Amino acid sequence: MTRTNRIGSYTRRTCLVAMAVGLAVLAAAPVAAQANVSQLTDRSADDLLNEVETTLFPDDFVATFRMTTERPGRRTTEMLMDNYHLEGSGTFMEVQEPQRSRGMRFLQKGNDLWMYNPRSGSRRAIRLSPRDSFQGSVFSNNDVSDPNYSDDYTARHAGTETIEHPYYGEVTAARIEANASHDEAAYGRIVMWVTLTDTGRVMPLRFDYYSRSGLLFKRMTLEDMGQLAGAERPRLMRMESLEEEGAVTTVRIESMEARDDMPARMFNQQELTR
Amino acid sequence: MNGGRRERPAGRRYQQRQRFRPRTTGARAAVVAVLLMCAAPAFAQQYELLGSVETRAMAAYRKDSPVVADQDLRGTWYGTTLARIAATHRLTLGDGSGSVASPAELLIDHALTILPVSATDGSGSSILDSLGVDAASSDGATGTAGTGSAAATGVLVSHELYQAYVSVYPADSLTFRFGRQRLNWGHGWTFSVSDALHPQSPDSEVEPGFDGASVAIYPSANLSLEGAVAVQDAVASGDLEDIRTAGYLNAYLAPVDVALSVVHEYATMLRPGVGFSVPVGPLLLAGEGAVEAYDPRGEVLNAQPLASIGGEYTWYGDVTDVVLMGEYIYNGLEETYPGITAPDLAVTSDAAGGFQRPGRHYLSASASLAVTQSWSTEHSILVNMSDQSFLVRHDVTLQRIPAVDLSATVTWNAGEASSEFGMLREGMVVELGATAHF
Repeated sequence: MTRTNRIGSYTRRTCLVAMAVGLAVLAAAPVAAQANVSQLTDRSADDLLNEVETTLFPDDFVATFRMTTERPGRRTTEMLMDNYHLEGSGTFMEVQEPQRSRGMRFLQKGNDLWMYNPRSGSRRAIRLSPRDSFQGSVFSNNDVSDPNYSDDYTARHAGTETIEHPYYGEVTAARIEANASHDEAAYGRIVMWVTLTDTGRVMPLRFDYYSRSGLLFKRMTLEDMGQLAGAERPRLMRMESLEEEGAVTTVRIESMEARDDMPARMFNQQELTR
Repeated sequence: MNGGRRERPAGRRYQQRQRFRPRTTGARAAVVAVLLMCAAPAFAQQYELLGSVETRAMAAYRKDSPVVADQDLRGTWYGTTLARIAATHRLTLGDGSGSVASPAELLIDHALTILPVSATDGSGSSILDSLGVDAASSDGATGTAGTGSAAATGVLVSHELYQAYVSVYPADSLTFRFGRQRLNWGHGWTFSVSDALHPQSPDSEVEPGFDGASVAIYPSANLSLEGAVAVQDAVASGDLEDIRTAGYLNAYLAPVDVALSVVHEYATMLRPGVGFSVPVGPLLLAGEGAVEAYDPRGEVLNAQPLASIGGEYTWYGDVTDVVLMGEYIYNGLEETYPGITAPDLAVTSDAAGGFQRPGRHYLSASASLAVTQSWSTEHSILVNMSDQSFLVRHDVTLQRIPAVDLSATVTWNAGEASSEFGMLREGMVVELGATAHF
């Protein structure tokens, strides 16, 4: 009996300590977040935009993406593809799954994405518009093939905001507004929520995509932060359509390696259909 | 004009080339391909296989017209079935890491078609033609560059080798290729008027490559320079003068893609060409121009222009995809080849790029609509405006079953019996097919 009481007393003490620590952490978190946000707002918005790009992907990389699209009333589709990006040369992608699409290749050059399907019987690649949907997903062709924002958008600070994030929970983030710098840009405006990690890395949390007419029509949440290609990056991108309720595409980065030894021929249109 | 070369009948090579068809290779090529496939994995870092198994049931209507020689068969239907296995093997050799940095690669792209012998009687040969299968070579006759194999048990087995080449990458910006291959050539949709290098046929579902060697230099990702030597005609004739050479320069000057080309064969061909494509909003505009300097029949200079201009509209929505294409083609070689009437005459790359009875003006258009992973439909028409004949194709494909396509296709034509498409014996071919992809 005495022993039971001792155990009970010990457990109560442990709980009280844990609660105290928890409360202290919760009380300190907003302060830390505020400190983080002030470090962000002190820097130029264009610098932050560049940092966002660096966090999302290395300059040159080889990666494998798994893309899953759910639309109400439709079969869920899944696609696995290898992705090769060489800064200044372009992006080359090859579909591995599903079986019907295996071998399908994409090449991003400038603002255009070229698609070649070896099963089609045609020797010619089809040009896809950057704003069109990528293979029926909520992502656009530009979202998938062009990891750079600073080429097409100019950024400005747009205050701070506390948002609920699936990975970080409640977090105070700096808002950056990236406006299209030319007519060829895929979106009229992108609003980005970014925070600073413990290691001082600018981490994007959420992107809201606006059309040229000002309509907010897509929202991307960046989740499951972890180590990829030697740095902490989002490993899951969840793009939600705000026009079609329930339409969601997730891209999970299954692997990523920073490497710059891809040959130029890989990004040449002459090679796409061979 | 031979400048000291040995004399020979003018137009000899032109006559030879009339027999040139998409080459069908049989048992020997199939055995070589299989042996290569068996041996290569021992040296390969990575092996990829892409292919399909297809079955088709077809019904064809013989025209009630003089183009059907046997009067009893005019205005009647006949049917046949076939099975087809197509495969593309890609072997990355050496100790490179996948396709990123490998020193060499082997590619074999081929197909095996099996169909009842009954399909090869008179009227059925058009079905073989429509598949790009050369019945003459398949039953043992000598083809341009292949052998044939025929089963004795009432089925015909035909092996078609579209590409089989080894790529060697001595440097990142340098590629050598040896074997049967294709270069990515031209900016035309229906065909490329500057492309006199690759064997072409309007009937072939998959166009084969040329036999020879090529070298490609990539100074940057936006610039390439290729040179090629095609030897299939020289091998067939035993005459080195039949070797065809070509050069192709492609530059991407964002957003315009520009190409310069030239194809040459001694005394029968000199065809410089230029092409471009440029995106304009949702449209891709593309054009090509070329001049053929020779009349190969007389081996005399007789320059004639060729040109094409067209546009493609693509719209890939969340669920639905739309592609529309329209193209006009001007064929100045109609002047060089007037009054061609032989029904089996394949003019191929010497003339209009594959038209069997070339006209001066052509219109081509197609429209396709697809619902992602559900169904798609495509409709196309090719009009020879000179003789007012046309060829139409409708296709519907269901994609409800993973990795399996179920399709229905109707192909029909119209025109005078003497016209390019009106001379086809089958006025309509209806096909039902199932294709499993692997």
